[in-house]
Amino acid sequence: MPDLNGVPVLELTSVSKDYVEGEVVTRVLKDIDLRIAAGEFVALIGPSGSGKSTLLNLIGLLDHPSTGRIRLRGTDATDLDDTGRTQMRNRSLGFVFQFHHLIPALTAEENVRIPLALASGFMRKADRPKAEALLAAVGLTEKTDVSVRNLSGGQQQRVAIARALVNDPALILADEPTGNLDTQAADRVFQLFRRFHAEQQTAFVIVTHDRRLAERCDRIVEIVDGRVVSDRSVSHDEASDREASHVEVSKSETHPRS
Amino acid sequence: MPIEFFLALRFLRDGRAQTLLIIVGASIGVAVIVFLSALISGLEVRLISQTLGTQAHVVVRPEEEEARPLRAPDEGEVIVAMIERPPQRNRSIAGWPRRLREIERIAGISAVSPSVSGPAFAVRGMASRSVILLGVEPARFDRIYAVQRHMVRGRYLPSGTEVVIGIELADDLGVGVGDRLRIQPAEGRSETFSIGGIFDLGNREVNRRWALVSMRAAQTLLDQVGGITNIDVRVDDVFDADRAALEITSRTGLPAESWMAANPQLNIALGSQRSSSWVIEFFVILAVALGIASVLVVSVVQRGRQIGILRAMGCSRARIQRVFLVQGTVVGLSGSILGSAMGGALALSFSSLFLNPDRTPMFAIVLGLDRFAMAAGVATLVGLLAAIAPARRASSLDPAEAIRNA
Repeated sequence: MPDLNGVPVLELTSVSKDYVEGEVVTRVLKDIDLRIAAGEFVALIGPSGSGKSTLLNLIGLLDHPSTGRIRLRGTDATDLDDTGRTQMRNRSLGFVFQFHHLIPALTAEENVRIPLALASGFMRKADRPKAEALLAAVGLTEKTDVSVRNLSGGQQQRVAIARALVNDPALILADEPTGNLDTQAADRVFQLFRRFHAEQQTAFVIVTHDRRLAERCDRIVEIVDGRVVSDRSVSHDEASDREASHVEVSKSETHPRS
Repeated sequence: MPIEFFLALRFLRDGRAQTLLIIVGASIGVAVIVFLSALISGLEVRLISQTLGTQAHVVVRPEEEEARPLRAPDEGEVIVAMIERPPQRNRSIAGWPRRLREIERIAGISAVSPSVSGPAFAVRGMASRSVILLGVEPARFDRIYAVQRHMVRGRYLPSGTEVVIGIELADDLGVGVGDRLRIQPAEGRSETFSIGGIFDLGNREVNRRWALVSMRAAQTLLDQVGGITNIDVRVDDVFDADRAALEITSRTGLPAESWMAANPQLNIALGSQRSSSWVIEFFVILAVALGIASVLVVSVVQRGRQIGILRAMGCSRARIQRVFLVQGTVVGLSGSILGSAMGGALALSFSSLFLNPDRTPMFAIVLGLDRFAMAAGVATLVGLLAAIAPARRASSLDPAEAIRNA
């Protein structure tokens, strides 16, 4: 991973997003300022309709802000054209979605290899060991050459995580990554996130409405009605990491906003 | 493997039933085109060879005789003249050896045969028949009419005292090889020839009317010593005859008539046959294109979510487009390979199934490699073109929306 030297992985400055439908303009996001440093582990929470998915799409360069600027690893991505954004997504970001969004026509290993193939333009044998290693890391060695159709929901989500990690992104964006899983599978997915975070210092932004899950992150950003209403660090010791619901967090511990 | 091909092939493999269906559809289209064009060109070749078997591709004749006013008008004078077309005498082509060489030099001309011809009677005892007396250079004449190949009795190559006649004329007069036959032109002297051979050129009129003798004998009999009255020309490509005729006229100034001009009704029949087959082929191609396009559009809709995630992972619009263009091309190509085989097999079985009483195929079939190549090329191109709209649609999907609408 390139040395970022304290440059935030992500920096949003006065970002707003309007949706225009006929004459009606709906402001979904209002004047959002947000900095995420390299290696942070952030939960983005809020009730449904609060704009958190919209915010995630903006951060993921899948959508354009109406006003404000978005910088990714120090590069201003606001005005990039489609090609530039596509490249940046490929190099700097990893995506994990609620409904895993794998390519059903491919095997687990091929799915994981896709971001590398998109970067080089070729499906290369040389990329296979890396994909295999990641599948081993998520505990799916035996499913390497199995079509993802034949995997359970939890297994598919782990393939998606391996895929999100394969191009060594600086930031992984996860949209309700455990929303579709039972408690056990969800826990396993979350532990994988924490492990990769610890091992590779990848920053994570996890959108969730599961408060318990959020409390197990290091920082919680809460959005209501398109505004950041709270932004705080979570302090938890090693022991309580497994049982995040017991961690008491003071509301006053707000993260300094830039 | 380029990622576009990899994804395209996997998508096709994944949509087995759809892929199979559309490839079969494209194959049937290609098969129809191959079969139809084999049949039509077989028919065409047969029609042309039947017509042109006993006809030169281009016939060059002497300049026509024209009537000229005796006196040019003086200044301020108007002469009212009625100019009648004079009867055309059987005339020789002036300076023919030079003109023959000029014609031989024109590109696309494969054989040239000078001949002298005129009306005559073939007389045997009390019976006489009107014939066309043809004085020919046997080798040159044979390269146009292939008489040698169609000899039924005796031998071709009329020597100075021999005549070669058609089978109908021999029957009419009750003569055989070695019998003597008197040839009497409409005007002038007559001469007796021995029958050297009898041919069957497959055309009743020709078999009844042609009497082939040596050039010199005919020149003497027809009072055209040293002269010729026709130059018959064969061209490499029969459909090139019009151009060849034009070029002959422009180079030599002699009137030249192509077989198309001589047989306008045949030419029209061939043309309408060809254009009707084009119309059918066009609609078949259209149906194949629509089929491929609709299957790909459905595939784009079905894979909307996957396209969205591919875009999110860093797949450019152009690359998404190419994935679908490759799919269309692969479908077209597979369809064309399968279809060519099907069409070829169909054409061959068709021609061996429907036989004339004499066991020859009722339908002539022309299966050229070029036809397969053309059908294959067209189908592949159609696949590519049919994929353009679906590919555009796929590439214009908004990734955020595509993912959200899971």
